[in-house]
Amino acid sequence: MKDIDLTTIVGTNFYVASEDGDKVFTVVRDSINRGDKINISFGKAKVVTSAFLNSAFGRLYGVYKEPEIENHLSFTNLTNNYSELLNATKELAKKYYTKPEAFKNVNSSDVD
Amino acid sequence: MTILVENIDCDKTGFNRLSSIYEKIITSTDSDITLDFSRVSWFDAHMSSPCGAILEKARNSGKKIRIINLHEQVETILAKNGFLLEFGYKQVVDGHASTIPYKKFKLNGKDEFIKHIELDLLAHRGFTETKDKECVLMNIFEIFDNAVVHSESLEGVFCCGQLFPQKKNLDYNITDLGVGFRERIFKSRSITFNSDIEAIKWAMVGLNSSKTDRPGGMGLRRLQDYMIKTKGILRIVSYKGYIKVTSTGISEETLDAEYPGTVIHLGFHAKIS
Repeated sequence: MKDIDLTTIVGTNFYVASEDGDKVFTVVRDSINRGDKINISFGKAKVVTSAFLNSAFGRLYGVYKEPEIENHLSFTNLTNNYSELLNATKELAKKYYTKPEAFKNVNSSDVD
Repeated sequence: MTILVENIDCDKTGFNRLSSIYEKIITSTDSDITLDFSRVSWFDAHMSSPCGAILEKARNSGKKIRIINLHEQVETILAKNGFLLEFGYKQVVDGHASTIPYKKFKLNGKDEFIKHIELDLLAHRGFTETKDKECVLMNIFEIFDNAVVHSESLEGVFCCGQLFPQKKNLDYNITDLGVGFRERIFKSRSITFNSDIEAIKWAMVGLNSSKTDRPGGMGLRRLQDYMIKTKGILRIVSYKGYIKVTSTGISEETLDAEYPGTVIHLGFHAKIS
């Protein structure tokens, strides 16, 4: 198991920008492809946004099946708020990648 | 040209009046504009955010603006929050610690913005009893991030707040002068709406996002849920669209004049120790 502090990837303890989430996505994707197991720490987070989490972790659900992600990726030092936001991100991503065409419609009631 | 300003509240009338002032300024052939405040007996201090934004935009287009005939109490509050500094007035010390200063942030100024939220808002006496400051910070930053990513606002982001101890309200406004919801969604998703209200409501649905290559769209929904849960008020103004969300429901109205950007108003239920 490899421990990764998010700040070392993002370069700041503000985990807010989609572009920074993309950097995390690349690191996690490469780790999963190598078969590594990684543990991501939110310990230094000052603020986290849904945009960051969608880019960093939500996109993984478009590449891998959920058990594969769960098997390779774990999280530590999440506050209740971050944990709740991360769970919401995962649920949104699962819906999005299960039925992406529904998200292209103007009315999103199809995907609820 | 002299424009007679009326009372400015944080409501539909207040936004209509600001939009009308902006329209008059930019359509005037005069470069010298005087805002006469002699009829203003009330100006919601947090409306310094959308007001300051349009005046900055007007100045950037070459207009010279001055403010005259301020009633003493209006001058005092707008000098306390720093709004009047750019118009030659002196800063007044806020002895009651009721203001959240009027500040401008560049779109790349996220560090300064977070510092402002932590020091000026979350540490404010109207917030001392609020337990979930982390949640407030997350939600407010979502707004700033939306402005950064989507607004294309050249002027940046304008913020201001005010505590009303009697009413136990802490009001805070964030303004950008970007393209607004309707154009933003059209540009990214090619979805057309019949009105600005429709576009705002589309963005408020939890799963709708202007991003097309990944999931998104949770920010505004979560902010809305938070304000409802804490019995606060959320107002969103974007061009002609005006939406107010409270725990009892959502109301929508069309502005008579177009506000040239987006304003998010957060009306927190203040807990004062």
